[in-house]
Amino acid sequence: MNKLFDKAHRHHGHHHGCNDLKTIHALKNGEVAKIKDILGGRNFINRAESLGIREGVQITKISSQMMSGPITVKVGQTQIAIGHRMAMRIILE
Amino acid sequence: MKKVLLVGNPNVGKSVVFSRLTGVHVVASNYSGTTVEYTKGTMRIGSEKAEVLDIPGTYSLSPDSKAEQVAAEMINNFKEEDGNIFVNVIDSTNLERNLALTLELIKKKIPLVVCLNMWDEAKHTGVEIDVEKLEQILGVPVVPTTGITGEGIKNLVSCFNKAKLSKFTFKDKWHAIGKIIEVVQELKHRHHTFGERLGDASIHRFWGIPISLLVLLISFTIIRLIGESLITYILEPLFNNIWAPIMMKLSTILGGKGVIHHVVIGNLVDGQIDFVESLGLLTTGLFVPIAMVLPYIIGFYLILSFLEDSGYLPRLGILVDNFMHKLGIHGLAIVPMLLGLGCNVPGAMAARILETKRERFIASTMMAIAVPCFAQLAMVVGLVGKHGALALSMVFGTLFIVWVLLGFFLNKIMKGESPEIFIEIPPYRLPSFRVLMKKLWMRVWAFIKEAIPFMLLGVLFMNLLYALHIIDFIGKLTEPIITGILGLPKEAVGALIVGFLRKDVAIGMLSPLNMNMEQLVIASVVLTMYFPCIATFTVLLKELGIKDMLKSSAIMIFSTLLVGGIMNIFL
Repeated sequence: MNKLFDKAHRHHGHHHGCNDLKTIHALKNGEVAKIKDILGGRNFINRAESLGIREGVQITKISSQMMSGPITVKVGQTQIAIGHRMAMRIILE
Repeated sequence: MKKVLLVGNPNVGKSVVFSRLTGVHVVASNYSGTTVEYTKGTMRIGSEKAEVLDIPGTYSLSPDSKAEQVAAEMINNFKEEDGNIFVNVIDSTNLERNLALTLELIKKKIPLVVCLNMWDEAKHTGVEIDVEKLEQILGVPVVPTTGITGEGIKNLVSCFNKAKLSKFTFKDKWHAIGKIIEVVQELKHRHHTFGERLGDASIHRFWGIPISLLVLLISFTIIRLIGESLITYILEPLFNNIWAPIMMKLSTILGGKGVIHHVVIGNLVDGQIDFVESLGLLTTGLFVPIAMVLPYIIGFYLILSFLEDSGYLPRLGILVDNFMHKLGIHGLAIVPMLLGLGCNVPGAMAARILETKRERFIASTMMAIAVPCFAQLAMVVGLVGKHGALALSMVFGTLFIVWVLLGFFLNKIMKGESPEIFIEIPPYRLPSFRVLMKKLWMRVWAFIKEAIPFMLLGVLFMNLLYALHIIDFIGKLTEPIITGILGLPKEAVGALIVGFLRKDVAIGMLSPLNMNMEQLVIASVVLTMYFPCIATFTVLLKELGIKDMLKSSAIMIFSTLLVGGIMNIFL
């Protein structure tokens, strides 16, 4: 299920260039934004929620690694590392 | 017996609280997933004896990894009549996120006590929690504690009898948590601490890698310094000046030859005991573990424990994540790899922190084949190091290349895809000296207790093999492989046999074989790769299951012959 979604999403991303949806990738280090939506299967959303990443929450970008490496964000008091592609599914306002 | 179950998110200090309650010391670190299986201990509540269970951390009762599954199962199997109680350990600096599990536990209708751990850190970081109000809302006892210092633990124990089912009800979990937080928590603004700045720098896209190289360089320098100093200034003089004369006397008493002399003292080299080459129980059998391996084990575990407790390891994981993905595992897999570098047994256990079976198979196989344990590594340094740094870099360089290629191929061949990293990064903490020493002692003691008897057994076994001419016999049988493919003398098969028992002893057995540098390099690589020692094998079998272990073993043997054969051709 997750995998299906992955493909669908990549496909979607390809056509629209993802430019219409703002993700963490667009933030500078230290910049803050509010989460608008989280796209994905139940598993991914649950996992994100349990780490404190959910709709309406403020996140701060800390850093990103080179060549599409993981992105680090701060949510509440916690720092979280998210894989590059997973981070694409977190849509910001 | 009544049971007390410690449950909570990963890295909230459950194991530290567990140690405080039971007096049983378990390894605790500053990252998620140190505890991969539950640990049992006992304690007294008043006059009653109770069993305490330290359960691996979990974010929710619908688990993602094998370690988390343990927790979910224990909670879902709860029966009221057992009289068990659950202690929900919470990281006070992260109340909001931790409450998610608390509310899930409340829904399960289990008798609960909430333990607000890391209370001192919450105070320092400007998090204020109104304990009384929280207690009122949740309707279960709430106790602030600082596990590391033991503060509040007595209060916690006195509340165990007041554990009860919560009457708190809610519709939407996060909405309810939001409301609770609004009432009970106050955040004070504060400036960035030095630790936070350092934390950000160590995962910076440009500075991260240089910093990690510096950390590794410093780490290995310290390990070498500790190892070499202990050997040169304490252990070698001890063996040469005190133990050697005693052994020489014993040798004379035993008549200088014969079966018993051979087993106890071994062969005399030029009429003298050579602690490396004599291969007797009381000579080489003691010298190898105590004077060659132990010093480096102490250095390694000191550094590893420091890195674990400081919170650096997950950050290193993030830096290498991208690269590790090409090998079919994600960055956090450096944890089993580094633990495996100490001893493959805990390394194989730690593979549980990886989410999928595929990742666990790849990581375990890579570790078992290409990561030597530190005992073996110390022996290789001692033996091959005599031929210079080039010889050593050939051994470890080859193993590293094998490690990378193996991951790369397994990732290509195996079905499926490994998930991306998605982890919590703990804050940097300055490790407490007392805790660090305790942890170092636990690990060193485990080595002494488990490794030394096995090494003595290894030496004894080896002597038997020689005495009964078994090595000659098997040597002749396996000559086409050992000599034909790998280019080693046929007696080297003895090391391969003993290697099942202890790999460090096996490396030591190469010493009297008069091999040249190339042969020593090949033999060291082959001994690392061909098969895990029996202790590691047993754990791997349990973790992977028979079918996967067979697959993994086939890969081990095949890759050993391939790599050894290629090295034999080109060296």
